[in-house]
Amino acid sequence: MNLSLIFAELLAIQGLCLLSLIMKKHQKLLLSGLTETQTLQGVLQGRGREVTRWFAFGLLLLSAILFVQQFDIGIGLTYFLGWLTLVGLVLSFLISYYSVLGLPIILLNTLLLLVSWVAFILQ
Amino acid sequence: MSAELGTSHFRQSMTWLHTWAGLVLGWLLYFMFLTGTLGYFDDEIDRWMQPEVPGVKASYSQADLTKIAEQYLQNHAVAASFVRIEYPDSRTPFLVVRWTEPAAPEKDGRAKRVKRYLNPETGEAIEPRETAGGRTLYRLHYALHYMPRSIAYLITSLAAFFMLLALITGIVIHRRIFADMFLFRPGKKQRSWLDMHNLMSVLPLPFHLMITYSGLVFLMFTSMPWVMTASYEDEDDFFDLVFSQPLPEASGVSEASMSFSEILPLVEAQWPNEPLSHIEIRHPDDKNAFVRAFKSDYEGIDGREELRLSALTGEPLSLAVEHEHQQEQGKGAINLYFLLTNLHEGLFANTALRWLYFISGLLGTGMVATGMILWAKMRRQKVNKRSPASKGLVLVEKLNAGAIAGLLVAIAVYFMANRLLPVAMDNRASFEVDALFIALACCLVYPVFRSATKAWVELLILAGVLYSVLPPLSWVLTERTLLDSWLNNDWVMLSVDLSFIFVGLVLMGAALKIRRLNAPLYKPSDKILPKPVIANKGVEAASSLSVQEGAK
Repeated sequence: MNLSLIFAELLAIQGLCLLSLIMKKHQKLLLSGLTETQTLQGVLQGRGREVTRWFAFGLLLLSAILFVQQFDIGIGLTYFLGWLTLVGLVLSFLISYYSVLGLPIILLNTLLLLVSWVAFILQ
Repeated sequence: MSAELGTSHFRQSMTWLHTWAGLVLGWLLYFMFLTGTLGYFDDEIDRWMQPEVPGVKASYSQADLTKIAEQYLQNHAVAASFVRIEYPDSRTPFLVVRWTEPAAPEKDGRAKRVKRYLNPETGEAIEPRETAGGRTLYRLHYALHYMPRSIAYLITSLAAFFMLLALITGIVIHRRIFADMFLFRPGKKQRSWLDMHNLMSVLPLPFHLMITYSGLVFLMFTSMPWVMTASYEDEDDFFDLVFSQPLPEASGVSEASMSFSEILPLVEAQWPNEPLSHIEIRHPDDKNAFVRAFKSDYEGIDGREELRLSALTGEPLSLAVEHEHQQEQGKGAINLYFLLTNLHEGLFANTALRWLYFISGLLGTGMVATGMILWAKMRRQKVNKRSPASKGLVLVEKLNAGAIAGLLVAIAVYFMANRLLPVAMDNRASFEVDALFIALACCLVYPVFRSATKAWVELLILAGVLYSVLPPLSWVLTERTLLDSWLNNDWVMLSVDLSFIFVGLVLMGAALKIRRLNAPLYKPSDKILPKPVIANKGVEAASSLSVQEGAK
């Protein structure tokens, strides 16, 4: 099992989840029944939102680097972009149909990231 | 203010261009995208369409297979100018031999290329059914059918050009391209279609741009021949310089060359623990005979690593001359050409990446289809008693049903023909392709006799049923069941069969959803509530509302 690749894939999921959370349109259209403080967006106002955005981009960049490291720049980037497409698609449907706010996915994904990181260290 | 007006006017112009560039060749683009996407699994489809060929069991080593193939070649490929052994891999689990028989005057002076699948159990060749296979399905996306290649290339180049235009104008007109990246609002009719179109366009945008631009680059020698003719007197000079490999020619002097079994250990010594894709001898028993061996795995996106040995002594030959030749060619543009075409074909992709290519291709197909549907939906919304539907709108709606759902039916018919046509039939492969186009033609005509919505539902149900029936039909006609594939670890056959069932169910589900969404709220004959007796406007309005609610 290639743990480094799994870690790169999980990082990409985490990055996209965070990006999807801080998009204003989602809050406006899909989360209208909730008060601001009930959403992560509500909590992450102003600077917090900016920090989250750059943190998410950082995760995506790290993921891209790991993909490139696993293969080479051509295959790595192709793989990375293909993976982003798939994750983005699934995420869009999850958000749209279930309004899950991305939080359960983020929590689950964080857990998986930690597990894969520990397994990677132990290996 | 004027700047704002100018921007608005520019965006409007781009919207117009996007709409019409997408519509004019939209059905052809859909055809190209879908058949091209299936091409990413052409080997797997080939495998499904030739169920007689047994997969090679993992218990055979490369050396065992080499001996079996060599034995066969010694008996059948006498005086061949080229012999090759192809080893099984995860996509094509077969042992294949190829050779070229010398040119004979009675065969128009052309060398005949022969390919045989071998059964490692018996060492004999297998005669699988003749089929057009996945390769032909893949070729349809750029070479079309029933027309000269040069004309087909021009048409597909033009379609790719329109696609690129639609993509670029789409980026320009989509103001909130990143803000709307994950946005999909289901159950909102036209808005949902627009969201779906955007989702399928924006998420795989790098793929769409790459595949379209590289498709244009692929065919640029046909669509833009002036680039060559401006610098080279003869086109062949250009092609020789760019594409030919400076391989040694036969000397005509006989000298015994080594056998594959003797060569294989030398290759394995150079590449320990590296499975081979294939190994070949050029000009066997000639003084200039040489061996080429290729690794199974790709090195980057450029291709497979090659090892070249003398077939007389087994000593490694230098590839320096060839590398110099390639470097001479490859200062700039040609390197970019090969980079783009390799990315387009995706031959380097492993299973996971191949699936990602496939999904991106399906999204591209969906992008074109939703774009065409959206065009009709937007115009249908404006239709009322004062401005009834134009003939153009009705035509597009019917063509959408016939072409989009019809191609799905046609491809299912193509697979079905593979199972139903007699195995020993002459020109069987050609009949399979004919079946595809006859089915497509019927599907295009069918909406003439039905409303567009009914045609959509019926064609999708038909496609769904056909795909779902394929695995059981295969079981009856070839005696191969899903369980057999599972027990024999034949993942290729199993995944193709399961994919058919999945696609069939999805299509039937889509048909039922369309039917439900387009069902009338109530039939005129339904008597839900009696007509109000009291002539009171307020009560009348209230009861009319309750009729509608009751119907809902």
